[in-house]
Amino acid sequence: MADYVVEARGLVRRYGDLVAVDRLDFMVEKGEVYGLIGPNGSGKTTVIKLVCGLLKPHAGSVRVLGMQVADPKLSHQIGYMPQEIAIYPDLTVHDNVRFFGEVYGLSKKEVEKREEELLDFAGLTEKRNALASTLSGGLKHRLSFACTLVHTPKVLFLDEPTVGVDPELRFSFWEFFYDLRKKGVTTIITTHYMDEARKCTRVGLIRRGKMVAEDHPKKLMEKTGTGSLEDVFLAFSRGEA
Amino acid sequence: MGATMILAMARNILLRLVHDRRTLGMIFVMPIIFIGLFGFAFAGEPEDIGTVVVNLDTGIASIPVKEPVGNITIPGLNLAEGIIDGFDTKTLTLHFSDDADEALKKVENGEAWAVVYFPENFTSHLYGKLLKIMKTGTIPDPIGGQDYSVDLQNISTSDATIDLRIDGSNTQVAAAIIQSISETLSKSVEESHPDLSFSDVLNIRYVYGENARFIDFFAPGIMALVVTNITIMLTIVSFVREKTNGTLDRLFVSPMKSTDIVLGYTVTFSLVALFQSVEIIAVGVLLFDIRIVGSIALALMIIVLYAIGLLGLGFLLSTIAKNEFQAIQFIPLIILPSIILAGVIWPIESMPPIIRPVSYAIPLTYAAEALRSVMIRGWGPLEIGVDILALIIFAVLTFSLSILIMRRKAHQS
Repeated sequence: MADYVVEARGLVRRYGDLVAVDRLDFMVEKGEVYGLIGPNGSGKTTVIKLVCGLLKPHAGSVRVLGMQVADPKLSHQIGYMPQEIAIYPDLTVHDNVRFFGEVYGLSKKEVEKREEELLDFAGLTEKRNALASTLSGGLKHRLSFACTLVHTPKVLFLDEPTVGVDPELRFSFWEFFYDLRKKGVTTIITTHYMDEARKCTRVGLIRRGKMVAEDHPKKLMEKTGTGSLEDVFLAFSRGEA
Repeated sequence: MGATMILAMARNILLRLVHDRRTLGMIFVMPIIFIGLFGFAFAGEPEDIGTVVVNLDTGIASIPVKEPVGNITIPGLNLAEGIIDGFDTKTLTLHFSDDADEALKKVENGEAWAVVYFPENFTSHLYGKLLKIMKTGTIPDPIGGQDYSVDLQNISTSDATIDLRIDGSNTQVAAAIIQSISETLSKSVEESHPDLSFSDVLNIRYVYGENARFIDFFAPGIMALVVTNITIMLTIVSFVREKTNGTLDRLFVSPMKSTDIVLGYTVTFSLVALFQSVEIIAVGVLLFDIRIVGSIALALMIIVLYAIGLLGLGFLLSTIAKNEFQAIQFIPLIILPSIILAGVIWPIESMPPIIRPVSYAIPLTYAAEALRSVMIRGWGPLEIGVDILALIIFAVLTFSLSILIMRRKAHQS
């Protein structure tokens, strides 16, 4: 049996009468870039919040790196980037990175080292002392991502990280996800951009809180005899597959 | 510009209001709260002011006469009783005591606002004083004999005054006591003896707050009020922003605990409250010459304790609000009753008895009272124990509740 980084079994989460996640299972292996794909309102964000511990499931269980999500040791190993650009607009780029470094208990030296690396990657070195609120939308996204990576997490949970991001930046984000993959980082990402989904090592198609299909994008297209993931999705939605 | 455009815009705004139930509720409820609170607070003059009456007056006049040399006794005058009967018991709630020291202690420790003291020879000396003023040569024999020639030279008048010992820390309450007692004296003394002014009979001494002005009374309350305003506003706005921009979720996933978040906020905002208080004291002293009798350090400690409670309250409200707009609507709901009902501007004693329990449910009441006691009365921590206890309960309650709720939010069950 494979050693799964993320192991979600029988997840159920309700909001009142609405069942947002319905008996959902999925496993992610080390180094995968796993995409949770589905239309708006399909339950992707709820799944991400369940697996990173922001929501408690009403049924089912989640283990990440073999630990319960509530395990305090786990929080040092995971990085979460919410859908919103979750940075402090009133702080400078430097202060944002430093704060999140401190939150994860990094030493002053470690923070300095990581800051240099991350700002370099994000192209923010020159903006180090600029207020985050003065950055362009794209740079804010980069800063948000840098803050997610500051403590060198082993597992990344990224909720729609490329929404509102220009194509060039989206491309560089994906390059970076693959760089991280080479370093053994596992990424779970939600998206409704099907072109991005194709870049995932595996995708899970979610519809109305249920996992309707799960495989490598190419294999899913082969199975359904379609040429794009959009068509794959439509095929599963209509029950043709 | 055109009528259609204007109407479209107007309808758009109206529809948005209708959809936001909370705002709609505020639109209807706020005017009622405003008029209700102001109506109650402005309703009257201070009432039910605890006043201890120490009446040692024998009620008998003993007047020296020349022939036969000695004193004649006139019973049944009871001047003190006459005055006490005339007191306005709506304004003053009278308690009676035979022990002057014990009565004074009640004012010193805040159980009563004033002591009215009638000395043993009050009737005798006041009657004598009247005889002196009117230069009365003879007085009739109380049992119907011949008139006596009064020995005006030897009449004592030292006990002819009422001693009013008063806590002046609340200028409005003090003014109400003096006015009420003066009115009674005018009626009972001046009307029957036009030559005597009530001020000749009344000796006012202050236990606390001698020469206190309204600003001296006002400044401690304003200090607490500013801290209320800013702390609640800062906490709510910054915390709701933390929620809406996603940073709170980031923190919930991180190793940072809910307690760390709350304590982090507390450190900064307590410092802000502290800074504001120092600012108010400095401006108050330099510009308005406000008096501070007690320890400034103790006053600042009270402010910090109060600010911690406010932070907790701010956190609680932030968890209810979904966005900054909704959060801002809570602010007047907290601030307004605090301004009006907590005795910062109008004394609690001037509010209708039915509303007073509400005043005592408002934390600002205790903060303002404690600050006034320290700054005007010069009290120490022991004397303001009840207020400090109330503020500690407020802080512990709101603080632990907000941490509890935040823990739940961090792992929503």
